[in-house]
Amino acid sequence: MRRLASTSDGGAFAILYGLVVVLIVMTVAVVVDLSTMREDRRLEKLAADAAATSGAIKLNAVVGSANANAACTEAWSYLKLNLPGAAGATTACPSAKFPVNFLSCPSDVRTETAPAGPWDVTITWPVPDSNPLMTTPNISGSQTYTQPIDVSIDGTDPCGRLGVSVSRDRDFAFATVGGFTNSTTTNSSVARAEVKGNINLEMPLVVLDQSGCQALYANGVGSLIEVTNNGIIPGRMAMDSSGTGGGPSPGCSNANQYVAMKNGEGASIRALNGSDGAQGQILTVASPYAKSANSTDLCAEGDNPALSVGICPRPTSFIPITRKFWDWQYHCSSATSAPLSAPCPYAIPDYIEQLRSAYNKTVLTRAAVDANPGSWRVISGAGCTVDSPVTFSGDKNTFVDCPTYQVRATTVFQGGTVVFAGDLAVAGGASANGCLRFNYRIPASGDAPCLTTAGAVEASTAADEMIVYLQNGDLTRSNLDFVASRTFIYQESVEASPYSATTKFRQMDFGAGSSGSIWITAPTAGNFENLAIWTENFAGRKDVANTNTINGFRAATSLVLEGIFFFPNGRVKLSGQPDYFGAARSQFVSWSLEVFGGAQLRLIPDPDRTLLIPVGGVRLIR
Amino acid sequence: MDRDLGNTGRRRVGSESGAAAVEFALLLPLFAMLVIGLISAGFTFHSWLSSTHGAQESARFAATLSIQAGGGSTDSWLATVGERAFDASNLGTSATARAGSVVCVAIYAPGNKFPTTITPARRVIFTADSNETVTAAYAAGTCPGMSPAAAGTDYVQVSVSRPSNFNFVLGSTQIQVEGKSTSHYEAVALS
Repeated sequence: MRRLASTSDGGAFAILYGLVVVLIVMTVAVVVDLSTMREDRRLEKLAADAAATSGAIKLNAVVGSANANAACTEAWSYLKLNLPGAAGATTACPSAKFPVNFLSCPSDVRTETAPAGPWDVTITWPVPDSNPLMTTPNISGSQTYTQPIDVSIDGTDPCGRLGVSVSRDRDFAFATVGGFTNSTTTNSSVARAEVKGNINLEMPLVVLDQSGCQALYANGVGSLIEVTNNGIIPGRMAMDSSGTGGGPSPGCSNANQYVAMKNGEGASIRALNGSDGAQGQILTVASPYAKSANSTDLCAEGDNPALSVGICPRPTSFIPITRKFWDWQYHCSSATSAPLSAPCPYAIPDYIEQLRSAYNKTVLTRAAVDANPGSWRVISGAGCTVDSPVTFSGDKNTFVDCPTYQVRATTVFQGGTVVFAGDLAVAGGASANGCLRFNYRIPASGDAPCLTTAGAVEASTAADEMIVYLQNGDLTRSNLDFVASRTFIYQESVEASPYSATTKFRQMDFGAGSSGSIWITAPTAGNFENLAIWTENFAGRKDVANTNTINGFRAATSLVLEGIFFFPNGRVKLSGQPDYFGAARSQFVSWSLEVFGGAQLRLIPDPDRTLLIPVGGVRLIR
Repeated sequence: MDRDLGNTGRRRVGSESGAAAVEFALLLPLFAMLVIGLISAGFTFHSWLSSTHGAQESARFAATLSIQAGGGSTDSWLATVGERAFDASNLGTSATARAGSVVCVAIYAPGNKFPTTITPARRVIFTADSNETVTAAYAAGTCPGMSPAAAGTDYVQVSVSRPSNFNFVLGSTQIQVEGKSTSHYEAVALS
């Protein structure tokens, strides 16, 4: 009886103990095994994200060539780094599935699965919209979710996408008590290369000459081409020329010729470092430094460009920028051709073509204007020469039907669009005072049509912005001030081609004369936001049969340029006193550019007033 | 007899079974507190893991979900992400969820250009009442108690909190466990 009682106590304790242990172990099982599994899941997700994004950049045709094999290999390199135990895994990127080059996107989905430590990795390329990686994004939960395709984010090119899946089968350590022996986690990520990425570079100066010499030239004692910094944003400039010659451009055949050149004591080409130390960059296609620059002109490695004379920093290799980004933004057309441009990938109108189809000389004729007097005023005959001040008020459009519209006294166009059928010559006498002013609509206190020491008061709303259209003529200026506030100036120059025997070269020369100032600022909104000048003329090119034309900027007193100045076929020359209103918040895109006679061109990166260059655009999309 | 008695008496004096029972009875409350506390802590930890997991999963999901794919408006996008947060946290749905659970989803995307009407900073807070009925409150701003990401970046925030009972025999208390996650918003529409 006693023994029975004693035995009974011990058994009860054992049973209780056993129950408690099972409860504890099951609780531990849930917590430990579940947390381990979730830690694995998180680790897999991070590894898959890193692999997909790093790999997809190799599919970006903007940065390099679309290379599926490099994309797969790059993805694997990150998987080995991020998955514990996978360092010794064998990269599985057979070129039969992931080609080094592909002319057209394969229609079949290629996948390759290989072990990486305890994990299995699957690389998928291309990734079409219908692929489960796109339609059913990987998220835990009991419900199923189908994610729709958003073309603006997901793109339309399956070959621009790379899918990475990481999965693992694991045995549970404790949960076997509860009958759970193992589990599998799978994580997938898809990234895509995009041409309009969210990684952008400020690039205030780009010269597009593909092969010629002296594409960038600081010519004369003290001449300076400088892209300064804008806080943390460093200065950057790019030279597309290989220096090897070809096409219309002679190469740097002479031993003393280079793509970037300086001539004269103190002459410099500089890109300054950002305020937090980000390096300024002179980017070149020509192999550094064989043809990019004379090694004796270069600063030492690591020198501070702001304190250096010569070409500083040393050029670094980069791919050609080409004009395509500006074409895509304002002239989005599939008609433009490689290598200078490329078919526009965006679904936006061709604003330049819209403008041309509205105002070119075959559409907007005198007869057409006369038939629509409510919208247009006409200047012609004696009105073609302005010898005393005149103001064309209001927002009415103006058609200037003159072989040459000669501005010799202050002339103000308050608003509307102004179309010049012929040349526009702003030329006061040697002692002339006055200006040609576009966009003068704010009778604000202190505002004057011509420049004052405070500059110009600019239009404050988008509706106040103007377009000046040169149908078939040059723009030249000497002595009088030229003020185009919040104005886009377009020069029709389709006739100008170096390959045509009947070429008539256009020019846009703000430079002649010995006095006067220049103030040109681009619109701040609308189709031509930030675009100050667009001309396809070939002025100033040594390599074409052209002698006396020039795209010039010469300001004796002050020079303010804000926005994008697009001269993709012409050479731009700047001269005159280096007494500018500080660095210009502008972007010069020209065939080539020269600063001479001790002038200084200083540009400051301004992401709000220039076009950013999308590079390395990669987006995680699933 | 005497010896028997003596033996009996010694046996009674030397018996440990009663003492063990007494000791067991004395220690049982403490032991039970410890065990139940451990188990309770385990479940609370599990609740926290689930909340954190759900927040991370749904924030990562939200990172690649464009406004357009999420329903076309900021609020529909927030609702879509909120639904995933409830599901991934094993709390139920955004209509019916564990009583006392709270899910906040926020998007801060001033860089987003499309649709142009997108609100730069918008959030929704889902709250499940004692009847497990969820109400949603949409407002400007981000999730309370969460720090903003670096200036100039677009990001999404998800926080998931749920009640968890913590028992220790002599009583119990309810604590609210919370998981938070912030992701860079990748699906910014540039045009």
